[in-house]
Amino acid sequence: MLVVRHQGELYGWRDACPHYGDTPLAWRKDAYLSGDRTRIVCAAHGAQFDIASGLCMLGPCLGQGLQPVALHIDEHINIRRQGEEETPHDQHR
Amino acid sequence: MNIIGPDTLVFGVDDVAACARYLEDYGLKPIDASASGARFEALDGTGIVIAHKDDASLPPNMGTASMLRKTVYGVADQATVEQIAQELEKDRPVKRLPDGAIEAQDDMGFVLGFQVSVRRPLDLPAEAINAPGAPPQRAPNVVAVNEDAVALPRSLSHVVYFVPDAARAEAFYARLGFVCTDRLLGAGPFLRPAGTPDHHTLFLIQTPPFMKGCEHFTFHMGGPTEVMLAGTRFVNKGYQSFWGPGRHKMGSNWFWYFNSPLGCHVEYDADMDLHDEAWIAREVGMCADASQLFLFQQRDKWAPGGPPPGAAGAGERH
Repeated sequence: MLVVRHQGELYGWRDACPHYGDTPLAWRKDAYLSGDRTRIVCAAHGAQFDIASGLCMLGPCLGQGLQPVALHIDEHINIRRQGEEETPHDQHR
Repeated sequence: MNIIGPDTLVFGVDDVAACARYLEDYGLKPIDASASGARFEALDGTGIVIAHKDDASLPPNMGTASMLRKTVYGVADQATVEQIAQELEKDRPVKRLPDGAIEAQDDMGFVLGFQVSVRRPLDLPAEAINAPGAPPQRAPNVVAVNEDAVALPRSLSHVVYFVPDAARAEAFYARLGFVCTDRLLGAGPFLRPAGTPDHHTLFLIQTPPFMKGCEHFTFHMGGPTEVMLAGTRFVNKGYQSFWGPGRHKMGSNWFWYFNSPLGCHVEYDADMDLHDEAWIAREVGMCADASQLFLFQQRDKWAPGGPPPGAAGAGERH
């Protein structure tokens, strides 16, 4: 998965391009963003994704989106596995 | 028409510095590098040119995510360039450049160039294999493995396009003397120009129009060991393997594809089949089985040995 800090917010996405379903996006370790840091880019075919919504704006998977990973942030960043229930101790923005 | 193969691919990229670092780490030599771009060459002078996507000297982008702006073919001589110009002028504008090269679009809107090839002849050994039943290819005491061996891209091998109409695209290249060596049904044709025996220098894949562009390009290496070695070094530098290493069925070439900041995959390939006019094209339906003989995945080095966990382990070993 990848976590992106963008304009003060944190976004978690599964590192899997919707084009083929399960292929990784980076071209190099931790290299997921466009040159100006405004979009996530898949380094398979250059698809561009909006960081906040995960939607593909340009590329082979146009209109599809990245799968979100729930982030729960207190003084740590916790990644919730799918299906786990929230407890009263969880804090999130 | 004596077209040898692609001499140069030109990309208009989002992050010039990232692409420059990538191509250098891949093994191409930077020529005339600056902040605005550079040419990156293989051993025979074929190569990749990168510039920033807003660079006004580049042909226009295709309106998709693809960053490929031009494919320059190397041909045998200036007479061949003229022959191609005459053929294409029948139905499209052909731009003549000051150095004798020409530029025109194919039927899908890919910008092509044709020039007298810049390829330099290479004189390099192929990978040498010892096998029972065949004469040895290495003299006694000549060691195959050298972990410091240089494994550099030798020559631009092929480019693969996503096209909205593979049949129409193929018909255009047939006018220029490209023949189909094999066909992957559901994808498209492998095409060989008349000036090379290589199985393919162009492969076309049928896709919706918004995907039009370059799927990947690759340089020939000296053999399978060079593919494994260069690919492993590339992984160890932090680059992202996409598919491979493996060996294709059509073309027989070893392959290893990587993600890249050029908006397409970049491959190392080796040991491709050669063909002539006697070859009859095969047709196979596209599927995972048709796409490779076998497929491996890189892993970190490991060796057997050492005691099992726990102090009692040593006593239990025989």
